Amino acid sequence: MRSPVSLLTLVMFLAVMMLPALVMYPSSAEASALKVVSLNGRILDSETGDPVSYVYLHLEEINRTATSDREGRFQISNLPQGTYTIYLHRIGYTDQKRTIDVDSEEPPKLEFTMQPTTLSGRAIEIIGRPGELRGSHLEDASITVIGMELRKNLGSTLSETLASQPGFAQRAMGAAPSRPVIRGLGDSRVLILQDGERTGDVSYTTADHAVTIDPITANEIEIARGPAALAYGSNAIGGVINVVRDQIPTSRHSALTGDASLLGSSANNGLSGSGNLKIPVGSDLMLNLDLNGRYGENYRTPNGHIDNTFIRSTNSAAALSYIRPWGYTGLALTSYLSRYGIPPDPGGGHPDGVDIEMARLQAESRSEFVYDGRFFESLETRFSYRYYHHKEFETPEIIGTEYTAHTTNVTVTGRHKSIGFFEEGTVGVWGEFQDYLVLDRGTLDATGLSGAAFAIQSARFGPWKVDAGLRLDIHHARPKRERTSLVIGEIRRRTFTGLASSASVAYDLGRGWQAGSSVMHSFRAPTMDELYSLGPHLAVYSFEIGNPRLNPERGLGTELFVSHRSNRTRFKGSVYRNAFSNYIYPRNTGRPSSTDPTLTEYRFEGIEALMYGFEGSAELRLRRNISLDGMVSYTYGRRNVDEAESEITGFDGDTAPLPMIPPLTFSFGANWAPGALSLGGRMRHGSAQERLGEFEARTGAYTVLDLHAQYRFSHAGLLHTVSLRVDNLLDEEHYNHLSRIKELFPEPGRNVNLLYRVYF
Amino acid sequence: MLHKHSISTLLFTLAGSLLFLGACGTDHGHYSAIGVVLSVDGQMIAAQEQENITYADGDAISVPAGATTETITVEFLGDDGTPFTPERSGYSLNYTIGNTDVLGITHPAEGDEWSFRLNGNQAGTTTIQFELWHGGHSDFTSRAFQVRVEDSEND
Repeated sequence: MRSPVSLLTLVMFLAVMMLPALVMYPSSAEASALKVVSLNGRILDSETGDPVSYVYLHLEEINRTATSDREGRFQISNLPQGTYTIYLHRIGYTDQKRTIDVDSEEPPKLEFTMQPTTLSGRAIEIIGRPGELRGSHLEDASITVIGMELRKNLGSTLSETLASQPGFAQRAMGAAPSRPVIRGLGDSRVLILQDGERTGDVSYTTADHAVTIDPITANEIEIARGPAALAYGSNAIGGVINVVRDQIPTSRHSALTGDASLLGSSANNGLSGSGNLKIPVGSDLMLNLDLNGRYGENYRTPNGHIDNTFIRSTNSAAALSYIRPWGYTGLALTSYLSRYGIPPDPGGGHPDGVDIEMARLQAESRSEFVYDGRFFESLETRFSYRYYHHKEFETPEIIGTEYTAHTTNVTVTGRHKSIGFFEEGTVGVWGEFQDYLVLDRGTLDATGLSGAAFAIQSARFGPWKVDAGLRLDIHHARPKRERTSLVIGEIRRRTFTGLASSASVAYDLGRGWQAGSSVMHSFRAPTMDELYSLGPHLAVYSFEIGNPRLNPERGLGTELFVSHRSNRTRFKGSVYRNAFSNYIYPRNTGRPSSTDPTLTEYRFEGIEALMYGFEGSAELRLRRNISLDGMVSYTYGRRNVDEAESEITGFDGDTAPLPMIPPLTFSFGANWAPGALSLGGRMRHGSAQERLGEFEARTGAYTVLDLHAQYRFSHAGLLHTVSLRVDNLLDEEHYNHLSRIKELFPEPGRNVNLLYRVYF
Repeated sequence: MLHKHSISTLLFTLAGSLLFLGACGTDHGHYSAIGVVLSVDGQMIAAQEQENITYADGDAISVPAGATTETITVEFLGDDGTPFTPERSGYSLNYTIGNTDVLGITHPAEGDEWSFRLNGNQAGTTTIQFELWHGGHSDFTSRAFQVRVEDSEND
């Protein structure tokens, strides 16, 4: 028992959860005096006038959600008075954003109409108040994957689900362990959250570690960049991926609702299922239950099956919320249990492969208190504790490497009223305590204590929208045993402090066009693995050597973008540049380890590096039922080569390519959607990657063809959707440049995915 | 005075806290070796420190053909450079000889897991590698030491 850790956890938990009550209520009016209202309404089809059921509603400013019932009715209770942006999403309809005023004592009764469409869910109809539309809905660099687009691309992992997004690629090592890479940036430069909370897993460390979120459970996936990302971390220059499961209910439903899904895939004889129930209990409580399971055998490639690429996992949760006029408080318990295989390395390391067994258990509490004060409108507190453990089995009896992490997070965020020319904003503090143990031939046993304060503000000036954010971080890493190693030097405690900042500006050009720019100055403290690793990692064929002298990684990211939205077209294009003064990465030295000559040494180093590129996506409705779409992504990455390296390696040049940079990729697709049916195809092309890091293998060009079909129907008052997708129809042999095993194994061959989902 | 909802919040938090108190950690220990030292009567005859191998005499360990060496003891080098002999249970010494026609081994010697004798079977050269074996895998695998089995001068 780690009693000091547990006691500290308990004290922090109680302090944070009680903070709003202690701060607000003794000095505030009675809860009943709060100016809160309930939002009631109905949603109708604009062509038929029929009620539209199962519409997903999201109040963006305070992150409240609801779903319309069979009669198209919805209710969002306990809203503080104010102006909100409400986002409506429904399969087969154009997404809609509306600005609504909730400022009267009488609960407003709203009636929305939604327009049927053949475009994917990314087309958004924007409806504003007269005279205030211009500039009021300008986008930033963030995107959301939801609904039809999410189902169409749903894969067995989060990175597979996002792979078709512009700028995205996936780091992989077999079927299960994969992680999204954005604009060539991966690992801890891309932060992955579930319902706004860190996952506590170690997928950011090496390629064999899986992300502990099953995408089949996602309601939507948000990708935040720029100032919005600073609420979650100062290191996420690549972006923040938030998988929204809405586990802790924020609104009370009038009746039991839910959904169930079944997904089969042929390439690995895979089957996964999930179910979600939202159950109102009494007048104030909402119970949310999630159950999920996934099974997959070894996956098939055009060259045959790849040994030891199986996966078994279950990702389940139970949550209870207490919802009152003053806000809500809820508790969620989540588990993610998984066992999956790492394919064998015929050349050494592990000729029979490695099995990884992992468990993540999480308890999370979240409360929001609506506050009618002079400054704050609401205050949100979050507390989460996660136990993460994974074992890497070299044989059924032998454990090669074992990770254990106890992580506690605390966040307090206040949403405030306008200050000066800032119309809205949030300020907050965040803290994390982590007890981290990696047990292999060497032992990494350390603790980390981190804290941050942040502020994010938004302002509009006519057609201009400006967002700005600041975040101050302090991180302290302390090894349990300080000593001097002949291999990595003095293993000692380190403290890192840094200020990260970001700003974005967008300009409404009119007629659906907008242009903008964002800048981010990132700060990333070295991870404990980067500082203190000293041991073999057979699953990735490497012997990892940390560097306790590492300095923080600082990055300067800039982006220019232009976008267009209309009922017929959607377009977004960006050019970007990310420069790093101390880009930390495990450099393949090409030398066999002195501890295990069958493994190659990887040493963590900080270097100057530069990445730049462009990305774009477009969708065009040719006729009423026919649309075309396309996507392109390109990243160029290089690092500086110093004189010392040139002398050792004989390399002649000032710069060298960075490893694991995705090649140019693009795709074209066509979609035909006669009514409830949608049929389409997509051609994906990946160029050869000739710019190679040290000891990195080239991957060739490929072109693969995918087909997809979706059908939706209502029966017995339930909404049913069926999605069929055939990936790599022609069984083309191709290789992912970001796969750690690209020299050995190709990507999956023809894969038929069938997804059935019912909403009730 | 706290309100009812604050008390409810407290109940939620207490329920959650019980889970956190159950969080336990484990404490394990592995030997982290970066080298190995072979000695006879306390005199180093060969050693590997990180990737470098050194021999006390020449470029190989010398063994007379048809004879057995004195007892050779094995110590491993920790990553701070300190020699150690594994004392924890479950550890053993493994070895791999390149050509067993040339070289044999008597292990353990005198009942000590960390001592051995080399037997010169016939003249020739070969290699020997050592492993610090634990739990079914090697915690340290040495580079290959060169061994020269030489005919004695009397033959």
